[in-house]
Amino acid sequence: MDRQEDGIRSARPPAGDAPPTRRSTGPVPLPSAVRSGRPPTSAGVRPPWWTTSGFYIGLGVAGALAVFVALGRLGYYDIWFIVDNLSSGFGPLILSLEFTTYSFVIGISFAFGLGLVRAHPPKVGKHLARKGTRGRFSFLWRWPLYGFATGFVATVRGTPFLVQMNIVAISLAYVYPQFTFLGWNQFCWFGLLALTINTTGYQAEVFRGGIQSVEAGQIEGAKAVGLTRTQTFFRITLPQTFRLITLPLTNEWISNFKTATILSALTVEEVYYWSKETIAINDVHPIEGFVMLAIFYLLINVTLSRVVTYIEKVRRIPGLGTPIPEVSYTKRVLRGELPARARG
Amino acid sequence: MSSIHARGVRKSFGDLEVLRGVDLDVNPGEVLCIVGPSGSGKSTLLRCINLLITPDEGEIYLDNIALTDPHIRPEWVRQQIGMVFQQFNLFTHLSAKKNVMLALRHVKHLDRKKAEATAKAQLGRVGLADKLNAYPAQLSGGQQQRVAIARALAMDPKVILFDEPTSALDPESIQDVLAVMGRLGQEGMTMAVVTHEMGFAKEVADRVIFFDGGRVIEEGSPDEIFERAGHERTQSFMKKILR
Ligand SMILES: Nc1ncnc2c1ncn2[C@@H]1O[C@H](COP(=O)(O)OP(=O)(O)OP(=O)(O)O)[C@@H](O)[C@H]1O
Ligand SMILES: [Mg+2]
Repeated sequence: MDRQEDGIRSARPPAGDAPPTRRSTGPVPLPSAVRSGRPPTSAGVRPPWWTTSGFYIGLGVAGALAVFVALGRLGYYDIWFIVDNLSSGFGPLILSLEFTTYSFVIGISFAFGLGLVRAHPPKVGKHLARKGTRGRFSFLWRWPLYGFATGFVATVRGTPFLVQMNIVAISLAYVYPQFTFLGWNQFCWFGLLALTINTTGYQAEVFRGGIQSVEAGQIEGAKAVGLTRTQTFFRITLPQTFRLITLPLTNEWISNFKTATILSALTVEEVYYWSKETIAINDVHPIEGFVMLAIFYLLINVTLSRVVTYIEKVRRIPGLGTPIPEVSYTKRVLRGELPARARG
Repeated sequence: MSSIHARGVRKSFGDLEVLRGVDLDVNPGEVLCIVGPSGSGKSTLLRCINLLITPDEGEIYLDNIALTDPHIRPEWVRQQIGMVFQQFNLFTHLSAKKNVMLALRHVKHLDRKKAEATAKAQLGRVGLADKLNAYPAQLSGGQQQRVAIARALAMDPKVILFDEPTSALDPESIQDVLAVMGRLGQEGMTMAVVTHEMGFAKEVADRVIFFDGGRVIEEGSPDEIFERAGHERTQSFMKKILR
């Protein structure tokens, strides 16, 4: 076979001079990239540095840093103050991460149940039509459950977190005006509860969407080989759901992390409270305080997204979840993976 | 060898009456082809037979067991009656081998080694011994359909139902799949095949049924149905598809 048709260019320029009679002298040796069994996209020929995504990300970061430094030099804020005080925010930052993660993890178990209920809206006719008594009247308990789940999700998604938090905290403060438990005061606990309720609502929708986007054909295939409904759920629906919701669930964690700033309104000393009370007001460095905050959030969220994207890529099953973007023809030519012109 | 007998099967979706009293026999070791226009209820009929849909009325027997008896577990029925779909319906998150193994492990409760050996043997039988670890998305349509056939065969069913198994395939893959099905028929598997592949029906089918408007209109040998149909609706349908 002609090398050009392999879509791989060897180190030597393509042999336009090689006569077609070569074929008869024996098999053409394969390029090293193919012999070693590695995919031709990343092996053999190193793509030019200026076509890699890393280069453009680096460019973006460098640009942002340049603007950041330039504004500092122009006297908008004091870079050295930021450098000196950044570490004092680590404690509050960790507290923020704790609130985010605890509420997120507790939320998952409830959200899973709510999402499951919401993914299967009850149908009176369908259930009544069942033969025998098994499951025939299940709409009697399905309706209230579905109603509760839907109402819960609608309330959480339809009202601001600040409002939810105040309602939770103020009503609980009447009953438990003051206590300390595991080193946290009452407001920390009320805030954690509010945040958990909030993220549960959003995660429930993520689960519902994930469960419902498993194709009907998958369920049908499972039934047709004799799996029960429970087996189908645990062996087919759930494994596919988890792959479908990785990205939306990561988004929800990030969103939850940002929502946690609002706990500062309850005087919880998390990272926003720190930047506002300690840096902006006490030290009278308002811009620096919020720039530091932006640095923290950006670093953590960007790192998390990239880690999750990487895990998704490594653990990917073809045909499921986020598709790998196709590399454009032009880009592949630039990387030296394809000949510049297709030969007739 | 087993047989299927359906008597007076009716099914409606809301106001739409899809099956209007179907009587159907698939005799032991027979390959029965079902042809008929789109929307006539062929898929619905096959789904009723392995209880993916519960019929409203009528009886369906596998040998002499009434499948429509409410005391019979539908999972048991589906284990006895294999089904191959137009869209393959392979489990996207499992490799070809695991697709075949899943029901062996969790429905038949075989241990891993036995299940794996069966899966390998069945995939070899349909010519996919070199694709054990490929995921469905990495296989061509014809290969996916053959995995689906292997998955059905692995359960050692008494009857297999095929619902337009080649309608989503390119001409070359169609031949691969039909070859596998033809071989199965010769080996004496009882099969009911909804298909528009007249070549296949003529060569492999023992009997052909023309189905329209939720009823069996006419049945007979392939020649009788395709060439010398008695019913005028059959004739006009044949004219359309044979042209
Ligand atoms: N679950 C369902 N709910 C409501 N209507 C349905 C359902 N399944 C099938 N139908 C209707 O029943 C009729 C028969 O459908 P069916 O799929 O059995 O036809 P078919 O003969 O297999 O057609 P085709 O050759 O296009 O596959 C169609 O009008 C279809 O819209
Ligand atoms: Mg159909």
